[in-house]
Amino acid sequence: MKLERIIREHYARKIEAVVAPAVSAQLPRSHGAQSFREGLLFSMAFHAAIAFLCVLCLIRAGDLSPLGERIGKVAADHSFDLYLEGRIADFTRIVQTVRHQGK
Amino acid sequence: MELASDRIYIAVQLALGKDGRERAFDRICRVFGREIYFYISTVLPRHGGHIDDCYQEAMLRAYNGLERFTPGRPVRPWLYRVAHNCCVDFLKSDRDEPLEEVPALPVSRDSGPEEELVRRELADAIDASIALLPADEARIVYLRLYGGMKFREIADVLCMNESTVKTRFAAARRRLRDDLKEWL
Repeated sequence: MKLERIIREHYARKIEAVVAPAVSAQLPRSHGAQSFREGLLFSMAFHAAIAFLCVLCLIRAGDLSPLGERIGKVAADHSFDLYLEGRIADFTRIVQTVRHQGK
Repeated sequence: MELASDRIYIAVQLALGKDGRERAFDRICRVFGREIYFYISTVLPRHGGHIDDCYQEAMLRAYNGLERFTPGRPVRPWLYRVAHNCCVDFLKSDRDEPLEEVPALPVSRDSGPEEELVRRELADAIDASIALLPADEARIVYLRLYGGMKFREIADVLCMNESTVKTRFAAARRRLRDDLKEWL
């Protein structure tokens, strides 16, 4: 396997050194913006999933009132942060759910 | 190198129609551009001035071919096949240009002078050994060891029988192992 590894590394170095300047000039220029958009979309989807899980926890934790209040407050804070960062649209609904569970 | 996320992204974009094809092509260029360019430079070593032309022609054919490309199929073998056919067409047209000097590998900033010397000697030894291989064997070695392609895929790119590819790869591997035994 060592032979395969040194040959693979040799080609990788050669491509970087010899090909990169020629090809980089020809690559589409939008890749930076595209990577940013993809990263942002993934981040938004991830945080939306976290918020959804928080809501599910709230609904379940409503059976245990003091715990439900604590979880509700944490979820509300988290939801508020997410809202401030513009990643959750329906903050009002979540807050109402938290208040309802806390009663 | 191609990742699973690249394959999924390209497949999804191709299923979206014309706009998706643009984005799929964008990703294909970024992921495969360099290795395709390098492959073309190994097939056309005496035609340095036309490697750029051949590369652009290959990518143009790939772009046009995306319309008929089945989403979900492996992209790498298909792209290599397009590039290889482009090189074959170019060689058939029998253009003749003076040899262009390939720039030397740059000095690595992370290694000391002794390590750098050893690295350069190894690189020279590998280059010399690969240069002695028949052209087909050299391409098979590249596609298998760097491209990570299966024998069946290499056979498809080079229009060969799969068993021929395996035999030639084994022969190339034996020669390389003999030439580079002091480094192993």
